[in-house]
Amino acid sequence: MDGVTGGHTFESLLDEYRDKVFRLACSLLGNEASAEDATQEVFLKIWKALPGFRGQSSVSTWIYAIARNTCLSRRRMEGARRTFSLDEARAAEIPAREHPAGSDADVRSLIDRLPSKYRGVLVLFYLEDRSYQQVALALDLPMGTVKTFLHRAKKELALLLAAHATRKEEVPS
Amino acid sequence: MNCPEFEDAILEYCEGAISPAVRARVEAHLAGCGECRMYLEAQRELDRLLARSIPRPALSPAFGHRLAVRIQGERPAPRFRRLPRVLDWIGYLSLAFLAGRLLQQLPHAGDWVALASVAGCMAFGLWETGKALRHNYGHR
Repeated sequence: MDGVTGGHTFESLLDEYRDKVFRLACSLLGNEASAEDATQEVFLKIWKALPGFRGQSSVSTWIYAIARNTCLSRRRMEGARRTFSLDEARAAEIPAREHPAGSDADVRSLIDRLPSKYRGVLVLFYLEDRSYQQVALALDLPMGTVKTFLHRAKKELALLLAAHATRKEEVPS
Repeated sequence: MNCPEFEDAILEYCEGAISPAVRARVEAHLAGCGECRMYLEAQRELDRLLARSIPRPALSPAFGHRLAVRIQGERPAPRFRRLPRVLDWIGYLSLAFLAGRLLQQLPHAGDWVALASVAGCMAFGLWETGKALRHNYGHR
Protein backbone atom coordinates (compact mmCIF):
# COMPACT_ATOMS: atom_id res chain seq x y z
CA MET A 1 0.00 0.00 0.00
CA ASP A 2 2.36 2.71 -1.14
CA GLY A 3 1.69 6.24 -2.35
CA VAL A 4 2.96 9.62 -1.20
CA THR A 5 1.38 12.97 -2.09
CA GLY A 6 1.88 16.36 -0.49
CA GLY A 7 3.56 14.82 2.52
CA HIS A 8 0.70 12.38 3.03
CA THR A 9 1.34 8.71 2.62
CA PHE A 10 -1.60 6.41 2.11
CA GLU A 11 -0.67 4.63 5.34
CA SER A 12 -0.67 7.87 7.35
CA LEU A 13 -4.09 8.81 5.96
CA LEU A 14 -5.41 5.34 6.71
CA ASP A 15 -4.17 5.54 10.30
CA GLU A 16 -5.56 9.02 10.87
CA TYR A 17 -8.91 8.76 9.11
CA ARG A 18 -9.93 5.09 9.19
CA ASP A 19 -11.99 5.34 12.37
CA LYS A 20 -13.35 8.82 11.57
CA VAL A 21 -14.58 7.68 8.16
CA PHE A 22 -16.08 4.57 9.74
CA ARG A 23 -17.98 6.62 12.33
CA LEU A 24 -19.24 8.96 9.61
CA ALA A 25 -20.36 5.93 7.59
CA CYS A 26 -22.12 4.50 10.66
CA SER A 27 -24.01 7.75 11.17
CA LEU A 28 -25.05 7.94 7.51
CA LEU A 29 -25.77 4.26 6.88
CA GLY A 30 -26.95 3.20 10.33
CA ASN A 31 -25.45 -0.25 10.02
CA GLU A 32 -21.98 -1.36 11.07
CA ALA A 33 -21.46 -4.04 8.41
CA SER A 34 -22.50 -1.71 5.63
CA ALA A 35 -20.41 1.11 7.14
CA GLU A 36 -17.32 -1.11 7.19
CA ASP A 37 -17.81 -2.05 3.52
CA ALA A 38 -18.26 1.63 2.68
CA THR A 39 -15.06 2.48 4.58
CA GLN A 40 -13.20 -0.12 2.50
CA GLU A 41 -14.59 1.45 -0.66
CA VAL A 42 -13.60 4.94 0.51
CA PHE A 43 -9.99 3.97 1.16
CA LEU A 44 -9.75 2.10 -2.11
CA LYS A 45 -10.87 5.30 -3.87
CA ILE A 46 -8.36 7.31 -1.84
CA TRP A 47 -5.58 4.88 -2.79
CA LYS A 48 -6.46 5.26 -6.48
CA ALA A 49 -6.87 9.04 -6.39
CA LEU A 50 -4.02 10.00 -4.05
CA PRO A 51 -1.37 10.32 -6.81
CA GLY A 52 -3.64 12.88 -8.52
CA PHE A 53 -4.47 14.82 -5.34
CA ARG A 54 -2.98 18.29 -5.77
CA GLY A 55 -4.13 19.84 -2.52
CA GLN A 56 -6.95 21.92 -4.05
CA SER A 57 -8.71 21.45 -0.71
CA SER A 58 -7.43 20.25 2.65
CA VAL A 59 -6.90 16.53 2.82
CA SER A 60 -9.62 16.12 5.48
CA THR A 61 -12.16 17.98 3.31
CA TRP A 62 -11.20 15.75 0.37
CA ILE A 63 -11.47 12.52 2.37
CA TYR A 64 -14.79 13.44 3.98
CA ALA A 65 -16.21 14.42 0.57
CA ILE A 66 -15.26 10.99 -0.81
CA ALA A 67 -16.73 9.34 2.27
CA ARG A 68 -20.02 11.24 2.11
CA ASN A 69 -20.47 10.60 -1.62
CA THR A 70 -19.66 6.92 -1.21
CA CYS A 71 -22.09 6.51 1.69
CA LEU A 72 -24.88 8.45 -0.02
CA SER A 73 -24.64 6.45 -3.23
CA ARG A 74 -24.47 3.27 -1.18
CA ARG A 75 -27.57 4.33 0.72
CA ARG A 76 -29.37 4.99 -2.56
CA MET A 77 -28.33 1.56 -3.82
CA GLU A 78 -29.40 -0.19 -0.67
CA GLY A 79 -32.81 1.38 -1.10
CA ALA A 80 -34.98 1.61 1.94
CA ARG A 81 -33.54 3.18 5.05
CA ARG A 82 -31.83 0.67 7.30
CA THR A 83 -32.36 0.44 11.01
CA PHE A 84 -29.68 1.59 13.41
CA SER A 85 -28.61 -1.92 14.31
CA LEU A 86 -25.29 -1.81 16.10
CA ASP A 87 -24.63 -5.45 15.32
CA GLU A 88 -27.41 -7.64 16.65
CA ALA A 89 -25.02 -10.24 17.97
CA ARG A 90 -23.16 -7.65 20.02
CA ALA A 91 -26.36 -6.04 21.22
CA ALA A 92 -27.55 -9.43 22.42
CA GLU A 93 -24.46 -9.71 24.62
CA ILE A 94 -25.16 -6.42 26.37
CA PRO A 95 -27.78 -6.67 29.05
CA ALA A 96 -30.61 -4.22 28.47
CA ARG A 97 -30.49 -1.27 30.88
CA GLU A 98 -33.97 -0.11 31.46
CA HIS A 99 -34.88 3.54 31.29
CA PRO A 100 -38.41 4.90 31.75
CA ALA A 101 -38.51 5.21 27.96
CA GLY A 102 -37.24 1.67 27.42
CA SER A 103 -34.05 -0.22 26.65
CA ASP A 104 -31.10 1.01 24.60
CA ALA A 105 -32.53 -0.94 21.66
CA ASP A 106 -35.82 0.97 22.04
CA VAL A 107 -33.91 4.25 22.02
CA ARG A 108 -32.01 3.25 18.90
CA SER A 109 -35.21 2.31 17.13
CA LEU A 110 -36.66 5.71 18.06
CA ILE A 111 -33.51 7.45 16.78
CA ASP A 112 -34.08 5.61 13.52
CA ARG A 113 -37.45 7.27 13.19
CA LEU A 114 -35.93 10.75 13.10
CA PRO A 115 -35.54 12.50 9.73
CA SER A 116 -32.23 11.34 8.21
CA LYS A 117 -30.54 14.77 8.35
CA TYR A 118 -31.25 15.08 12.08
CA ARG A 119 -30.42 11.45 12.79
CA GLY A 120 -27.02 11.71 11.07
CA VAL A 121 -26.01 14.78 13.08
CA LEU A 122 -27.29 13.34 16.37
CA VAL A 123 -25.53 9.99 15.97
CA LEU A 124 -22.27 11.52 14.75
CA PHE A 125 -22.29 14.05 17.61
CA TYR A 126 -22.24 11.20 20.16
CA LEU A 127 -19.83 9.06 18.13
CA GLU A 128 -17.43 12.03 17.96
CA ASP A 129 -17.40 12.74 21.69
CA ARG A 130 -19.85 15.64 21.47
CA SER A 131 -17.74 17.71 19.08
CA TYR A 132 -19.77 20.20 17.00
CA GLN A 133 -16.62 20.97 15.03
CA GLN A 134 -15.92 17.37 14.03
CA VAL A 135 -19.56 16.88 12.97
CA ALA A 136 -19.48 20.10 10.93
CA LEU A 137 -16.26 19.02 9.21
CA ALA A 138 -17.41 15.48 8.46
CA LEU A 139 -20.85 16.45 7.16
CA ASP A 140 -19.69 19.70 5.54
CA LEU A 141 -22.28 21.73 7.42
CA PRO A 142 -21.90 25.15 9.07
CA MET A 143 -21.55 24.95 12.83
CA GLY A 144 -24.85 26.78 13.34
CA THR A 145 -26.66 24.21 11.21
CA VAL A 146 -25.12 21.38 13.20
CA LYS A 147 -26.44 22.91 16.45
CA THR A 148 -29.86 23.54 14.93
CA PHE A 149 -30.19 19.98 13.57
CA LEU A 150 -28.89 18.51 16.82
CA HIS A 151 -31.35 20.44 18.96
CA ARG A 152 -34.27 19.63 16.66
CA ALA A 153 -33.24 15.97 16.80
CA LYS A 154 -33.20 16.03 20.59
CA LYS A 155 -36.56 17.79 20.82
CA GLU A 156 -38.17 15.32 18.41
CA LEU A 157 -36.57 12.40 20.19
CA ALA A 158 -37.80 13.65 23.56
CA LEU A 159 -41.34 13.66 22.15
CA LEU A 160 -40.91 10.15 20.73
CA LEU A 161 -39.51 8.89 24.05
CA ALA A 162 -42.42 10.42 25.96
CA ALA A 163 -44.94 8.82 23.60
CA HIS A 164 -43.11 5.50 23.84
CA ALA A 165 -43.11 5.64 27.67
CA THR A 166 -46.85 6.38 27.68
CA ARG A 167 -47.51 3.39 25.41
CA LYS A 168 -45.46 1.16 27.70
CA GLU A 169 -47.51 2.28 30.70
CA GLU A 170 -50.76 1.61 28.87
CA VAL A 171 -49.71 -1.89 27.81
CA PRO A 172 -48.14 -3.57 30.87
CA SER A 173 -45.86 -6.48 29.94
CA MET B 1 -41.23 25.19 28.32
CA ASN B 2 -42.24 28.66 29.42
CA CYS B 3 -38.95 30.34 28.49
CA PRO B 4 -38.40 29.48 24.79
CA GLU B 5 -35.69 32.14 24.52
CA PHE B 6 -33.54 29.98 26.82
CA GLU B 7 -34.33 26.63 25.23
CA ASP B 8 -31.36 26.41 22.83
CA ALA B 9 -29.01 28.06 25.33
CA ILE B 10 -29.91 25.41 27.92
CA LEU B 11 -29.28 22.66 25.34
CA GLU B 12 -25.84 24.11 24.59
CA TYR B 13 -25.20 24.52 28.30
CA CYS B 14 -25.98 20.84 28.71
CA GLU B 15 -23.68 19.96 25.79
CA GLY B 16 -20.89 21.92 27.44
CA ALA B 17 -20.18 24.23 24.50
CA ILE B 18 -21.20 27.69 25.58
CA SER B 19 -19.40 31.01 25.92
CA PRO B 20 -18.69 32.28 29.44
CA ALA B 21 -21.05 35.26 28.94
CA VAL B 22 -23.99 33.06 27.85
CA ARG B 23 -23.17 30.54 30.59
CA ALA B 24 -23.45 33.29 33.22
CA ARG B 25 -26.77 34.46 31.75
CA VAL B 26 -28.17 30.89 31.66
CA GLU B 27 -27.03 30.16 35.21
CA ALA B 28 -28.59 33.39 36.46
CA HIS B 29 -31.86 32.42 34.76
CA LEU B 30 -31.75 28.84 36.07
CA ALA B 31 -31.30 30.12 39.61
CA GLY B 32 -34.71 31.75 39.43
CA CYS B 33 -36.67 29.40 37.13
CA GLY B 34 -37.70 25.99 38.42
CA GLU B 35 -39.21 24.89 35.13
CA CYS B 36 -35.96 25.56 33.25
CA ARG B 37 -34.05 23.64 35.92
CA MET B 38 -36.39 20.70 35.29
CA TYR B 39 -35.87 21.11 31.56
CA LEU B 40 -32.08 21.08 32.08
CA GLU B 41 -32.31 17.94 34.19
CA ALA B 42 -34.45 16.25 31.53
CA GLN B 43 -31.87 17.19 28.88
CA ARG B 44 -29.04 15.83 31.01
CA GLU B 45 -30.93 12.57 31.38
CA LEU B 46 -31.50 12.46 27.60
CA ASP B 47 -27.80 13.16 27.05
CA ARG B 48 -26.81 10.24 29.30
CA LEU B 49 -29.34 8.01 27.58
CA LEU B 50 -28.01 8.89 24.12
CA ALA B 51 -24.37 8.50 25.13
CA ARG B 52 -25.21 5.01 26.40
CA SER B 53 -27.43 4.01 23.48
CA ILE B 54 -24.97 5.12 20.80
CA PRO B 55 -21.76 3.29 21.68
CA ARG B 56 -18.67 3.88 19.57
CA PRO B 57 -18.50 1.18 16.92
CA ALA B 58 -15.17 -0.42 16.06
CA LEU B 59 -13.85 -1.70 12.76
CA SER B 60 -13.36 -5.45 12.62
CA PRO B 61 -9.78 -6.71 13.16
CA ALA B 62 -9.75 -8.01 9.56
CA PHE B 63 -10.34 -4.55 8.09
CA GLY B 64 -6.68 -3.82 7.28
CA HIS B 65 -6.09 -7.23 5.72
CA ARG B 66 -9.25 -7.03 3.59
CA LEU B 67 -8.26 -3.59 2.35
CA ALA B 68 -4.72 -4.75 1.51
CA VAL B 69 -6.18 -7.66 -0.50
CA ARG B 70 -8.52 -5.33 -2.41
CA ILE B 71 -5.69 -2.93 -3.17
CA GLN B 72 -3.48 -5.80 -4.33
CA GLY B 73 -6.30 -6.85 -6.66
CA GLU B 74 -6.25 -3.39 -8.24
CA ARG B 75 -2.56 -3.54 -9.20
CA PRO B 76 -1.58 -4.80 -12.68
CA ALA B 77 0.23 -8.15 -12.73
CA PRO B 78 3.95 -7.26 -12.47
CA ARG B 79 5.19 -9.87 -14.96
CA PHE B 80 3.19 -8.22 -17.78
CA ARG B 81 4.15 -4.70 -16.75
CA ARG B 82 6.92 -4.17 -19.36
CA LEU B 83 5.62 -6.53 -22.04
CA PRO B 84 3.60 -4.12 -24.21
CA ARG B 85 6.44 -1.59 -24.34
CA VAL B 86 8.90 -4.33 -25.34
CA LEU B 87 6.47 -5.54 -28.01
CA ASP B 88 6.28 -2.00 -29.39
CA TRP B 89 10.01 -1.76 -29.81
CA ILE B 90 10.31 -5.22 -31.34
CA GLY B 91 7.62 -4.18 -33.82
CA TYR B 92 9.33 -0.91 -34.71
CA LEU B 93 12.74 -2.51 -35.18
CA SER B 94 11.34 -5.37 -37.29
CA LEU B 95 9.50 -2.89 -39.44
CA ALA B 96 12.61 -0.76 -39.97
CA PHE B 97 14.65 -3.84 -40.84
CA LEU B 98 12.01 -5.11 -43.28
CA ALA B 99 11.63 -1.70 -44.92
CA GLY B 100 15.39 -1.39 -45.36
CA ARG B 101 15.69 -4.83 -46.97
CA LEU B 102 12.83 -4.17 -49.37
CA LEU B 103 14.10 -0.73 -50.36
CA GLN B 104 17.47 -2.25 -51.28
CA GLN B 105 15.78 -4.54 -53.81
CA LEU B 106 13.49 -2.02 -55.54
CA PRO B 107 14.79 -0.33 -58.74
CA HIS B 108 11.84 2.00 -59.47
CA ALA B 109 10.86 5.20 -57.63
CA GLY B 110 7.08 4.51 -57.94
CA ASP B 111 7.52 1.37 -56.02
CA TRP B 112 9.31 3.33 -53.33
CA VAL B 113 6.23 5.48 -52.80
CA ALA B 114 3.93 2.46 -52.64
CA LEU B 115 6.24 0.76 -50.25
CA ALA B 116 6.51 3.85 -48.05
CA SER B 117 2.67 3.95 -47.85
CA VAL B 118 2.47 0.30 -46.85
CA ALA B 119 5.24 0.77 -44.32
CA GLY B 120 3.50 3.86 -42.91
CA CYS B 121 0.25 1.94 -42.49
CA MET B 122 2.04 -0.92 -40.81
CA ALA B 123 3.88 1.42 -38.46
CA PHE B 124 0.67 3.19 -37.55
CA GLY B 125 -1.05 -0.14 -36.92
CA LEU B 126 1.77 -1.34 -34.71
CA TRP B 127 1.84 1.92 -32.80
CA GLU B 128 -1.91 1.81 -32.14
CA THR B 129 -1.71 -1.84 -31.10
CA GLY B 130 1.01 -0.95 -28.64
CA LYS B 131 -1.07 1.88 -27.21
CA ALA B 132 -4.10 -0.38 -26.83
CA LEU B 133 -2.05 -3.06 -25.11
CA ARG B 134 -0.58 -0.51 -22.69
CA HIS B 135 -4.04 0.87 -21.92
CA ASN B 136 -5.49 -2.59 -21.28
CA TYR B 137 -2.72 -3.41 -18.85
CA GLY B 138 -3.31 -0.19 -16.99
CA HIS B 139 -0.01 1.55 -17.75
CA ARG B 140 0.11 5.32 -17.90
